[in-house]
Amino acid sequence: MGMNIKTFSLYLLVCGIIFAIAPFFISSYYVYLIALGMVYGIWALSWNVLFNYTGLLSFGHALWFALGAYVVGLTQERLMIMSMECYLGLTLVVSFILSLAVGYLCVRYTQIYFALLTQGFSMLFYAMLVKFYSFTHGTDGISVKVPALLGMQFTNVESFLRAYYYYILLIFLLCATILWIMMNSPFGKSLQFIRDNSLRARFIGIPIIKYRLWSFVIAGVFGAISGALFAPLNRQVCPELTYWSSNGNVVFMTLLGGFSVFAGSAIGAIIFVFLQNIALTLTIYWQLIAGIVIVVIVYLFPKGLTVSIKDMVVGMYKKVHGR
Amino acid sequence: MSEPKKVGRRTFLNYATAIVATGVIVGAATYLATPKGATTTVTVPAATTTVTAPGGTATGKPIPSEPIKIGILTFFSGSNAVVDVQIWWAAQMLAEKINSEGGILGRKIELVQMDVGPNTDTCVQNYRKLVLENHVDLVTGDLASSNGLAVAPICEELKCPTIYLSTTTTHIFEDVDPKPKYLFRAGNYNTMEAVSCALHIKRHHPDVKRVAGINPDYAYGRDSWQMFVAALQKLLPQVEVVYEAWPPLGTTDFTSHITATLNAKPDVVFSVLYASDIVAFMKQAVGYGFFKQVPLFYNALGYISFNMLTKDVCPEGLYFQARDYYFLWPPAEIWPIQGWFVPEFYKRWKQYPNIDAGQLYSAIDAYKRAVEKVYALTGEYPTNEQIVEAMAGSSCVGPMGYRTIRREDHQFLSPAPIGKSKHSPDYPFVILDELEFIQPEECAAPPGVKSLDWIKSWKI
Amino acid sequence: MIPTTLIFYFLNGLFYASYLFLVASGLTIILGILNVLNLAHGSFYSFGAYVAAFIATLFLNNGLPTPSLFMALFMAALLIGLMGSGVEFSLKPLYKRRQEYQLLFTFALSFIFEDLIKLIWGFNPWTCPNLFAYMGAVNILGQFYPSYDMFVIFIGFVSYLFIWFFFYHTRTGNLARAVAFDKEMSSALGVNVSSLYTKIFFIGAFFAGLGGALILPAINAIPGMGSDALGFAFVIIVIGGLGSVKGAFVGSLIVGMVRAVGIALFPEIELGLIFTVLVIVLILKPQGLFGKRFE
Repeated sequence: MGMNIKTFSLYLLVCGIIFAIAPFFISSYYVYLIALGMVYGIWALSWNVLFNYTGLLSFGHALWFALGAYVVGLTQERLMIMSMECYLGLTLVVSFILSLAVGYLCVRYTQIYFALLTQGFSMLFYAMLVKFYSFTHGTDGISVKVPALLGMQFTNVESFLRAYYYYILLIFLLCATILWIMMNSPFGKSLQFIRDNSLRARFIGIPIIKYRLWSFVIAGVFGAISGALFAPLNRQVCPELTYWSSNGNVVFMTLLGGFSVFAGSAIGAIIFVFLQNIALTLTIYWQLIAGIVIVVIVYLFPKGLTVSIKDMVVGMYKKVHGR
Repeated sequence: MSEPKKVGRRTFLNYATAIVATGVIVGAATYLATPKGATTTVTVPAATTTVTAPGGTATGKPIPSEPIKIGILTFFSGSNAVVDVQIWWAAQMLAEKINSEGGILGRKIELVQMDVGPNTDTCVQNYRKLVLENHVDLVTGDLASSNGLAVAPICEELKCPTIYLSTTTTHIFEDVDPKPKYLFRAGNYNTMEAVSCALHIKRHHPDVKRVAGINPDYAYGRDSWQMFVAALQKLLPQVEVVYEAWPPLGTTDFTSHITATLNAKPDVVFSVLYASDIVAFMKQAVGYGFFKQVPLFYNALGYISFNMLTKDVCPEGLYFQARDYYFLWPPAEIWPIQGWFVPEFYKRWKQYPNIDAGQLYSAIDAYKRAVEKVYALTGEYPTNEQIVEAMAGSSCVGPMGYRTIRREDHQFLSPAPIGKSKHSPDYPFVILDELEFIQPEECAAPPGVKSLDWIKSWKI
Repeated sequence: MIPTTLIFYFLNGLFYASYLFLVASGLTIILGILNVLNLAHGSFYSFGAYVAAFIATLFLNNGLPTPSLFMALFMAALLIGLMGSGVEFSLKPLYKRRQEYQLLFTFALSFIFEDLIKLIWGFNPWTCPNLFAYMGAVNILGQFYPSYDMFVIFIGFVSYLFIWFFFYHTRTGNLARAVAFDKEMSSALGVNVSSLYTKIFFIGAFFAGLGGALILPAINAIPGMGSDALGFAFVIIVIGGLGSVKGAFVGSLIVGMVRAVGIALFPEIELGLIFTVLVIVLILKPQGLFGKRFE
């Protein structure tokens, strides 16, 4: 996965341009879907930090998404703050502290224990959100009004959505860059080394638990950022965001796009949004389709769908050109 | 350890393929999901702040020839589907009938089916799709409370007439959308359920002292229980709560709750368990002789799934609050709509119409009346804005009888039925006996007043 | 009356523990011997209930007497056992890969099975009350208790005895324990590990299916019941120790009693109770009461 920073910047630029001009060509409904896809993209990228780079399968990543979303909802409702930047700042702080605490408890374990423990925390958060009814409105969730972006107020929701699309795009590109830099830094390389051979890593002197913890914190913080971005888009935050079935979504997204490639999870997230959208108009058995797709991917395309398609296309190209 | 690679043909191909693949999938998705015949509009980010109403074809002009599109946004999947599918059936029946009689001002009704999907964000997406892509004139259906709360501000922003059915949480018109313009609700809401039960107890069983509750642990259960207890304690100050059970939604094993409730020896048990929960609960409760030991049992909302309350599951003598519509009242002899609606429904779908189906009828009826009224007054086909203004404060009919629509908070109201379960040889499920109707003025909070505040302000 | 109530809380807890044990035992057996955490295990449970409802309806429609419905339950469990073997076959190609793939695969299976149930049987609950009513109720110190629930408790105990007997006094069972202990060695000594795996999956699925089938007359079969039971099963096997059947037994009793007492005394905590217990146990004593060795 070695790509130098010039290549990465090139792809980032191309992506950014395509996404920036998209609203001029498609209807506002699809612009909304792409915005949602980008939000989920950040979420999936953060999950993949744990899965692909650290080798930890988390079944509780929805916790961070919901955390960010609820920070926005509660701040807006209780503290009457309307600034999006304020929400993001608060989310950063709160999620950093919490992911440090939860991560400390979780990263001592791997595989099954880690998966179960993360799921347990996710459901615990769900129970708390439902239980503290007078504070969180329980299963009804919290209504989120349109916030101010960079100080700009929006009286009209359509114009808010247009501006918010670009806001999300910028943050998406920023998060992708930061995560990419982190994963290609010496720290990121150590993580992968730990993933592949933890015994040898320990002999070399890499502090395994500490590195895993930092990986967990990174994943948690970026996951929460995506949740915070989600809140003004969906205009409602509810406990189901951290229910165990939501955890399945992020796994699905990453598998769709391919977890072995950095951008895979983000691509998978965008595909997921559109896939779910079409599937729901065609059938009510959305879970069945998602399950079948995952099974097919696990059997045939273990590196993820888009990566494998890429491999196949490249393979055909090589055959044709004999290289 | 990998080394940095230069931009080679291979790497370029890798990523180009990935981006192209995404583009193809996104493009295919856009193409497939776009309803045929509709054009995707080109939106240029505008500097103006006005929004042209994207919904439907209603304009202040002569009657359009295109059909009126009504979007039915409800649960076609999930456990609510068995109840909500009747909304779709009722809509089909009603649309066919109206169309056969000439439609609404000559325009035929066309129904668009849309599932709520697994989460609130799919619900929000699909609502937007109905309005922005399918260009419906009216959206109606049954949403969960969280869905309804999420969609409410969007309905007002997109300016599409929307009529909720059994999305009866008080928070919609009391907190999130207190001055609704485009949003209406055709179902008698939660306050009416809880308060009518409390009033019924006061009128018929005023000597109760100990009350217990077995309610699903989510917002609806919490709200209903809170209002019921507040109302009952106002009406009968001697009442005390001896036990509250909070089984999560979807609990299948109620044995511990039953034992604990029996142990508290209540005089009356109030429960808003419904659908499969109430069926499981009753089955197990009967095994414990629950209903022989507890003198009074009141249930709200359970009757929405009355097809499941078969005679072997549900004993006689239990009180059910049937929201706003009970299929056997009014009898066909005095209310012709019932004479058509109930037998026709049963003939087609082999089930009797439930609460939601009745509400749907009144919703479409209200819309039709509003359109016709404005046209009669102005001679022009009404805009969406005119339609919703005409609907507010008007009245309509449904199989349940006459309904009024409050001007201030767009709430449809009709008397709330409470009855006692009875086994009848004519039906496989329990029917309601000793029907009593609590008037809306007695059990609905005045518009602009929060329900709990209203209850607490009662002077008895 | 305090003593009577205590007896009933105890019985309720036992009842709950019994059918949860049937689910948890299968889960822990599969985990202990194959080292696969079967996230689709809840589906065996729910399929057991639905298939039992189907067979029971078939029997009743053909005029068979009520006691034959016991047969229906057992047959349903056998069919679910076969389903388990089928799942194991589809897992075989994934054994040599990372354990995460197996988790992802069973996870996807749970989605598929969940929707298959809705596809085949619809969203309405399925019931079979005949057996429940048929067995009537016993009068314990003035309060009624359904006899069917006693029957479930009885089957729970019998199943534990059967499992213990199977793993310690039958050839297959002993071989299974050997494979759990050291797969390479057992294979080198001539044990057909692959067919053993299939048999173990059969047994695990059978008991989960039996749990679902048994519970049908007492409760309804509804979509989503599987994930509910699975959540509790996770907690049970963690408390008892991953891979330990004795642990599953003790864990079920603990969970059953805690839930019964919790509902009676602190009804508010019901929603978060089980996951709180899971997290606490995982943090304090992740190896559980009886450790990871399969016993």
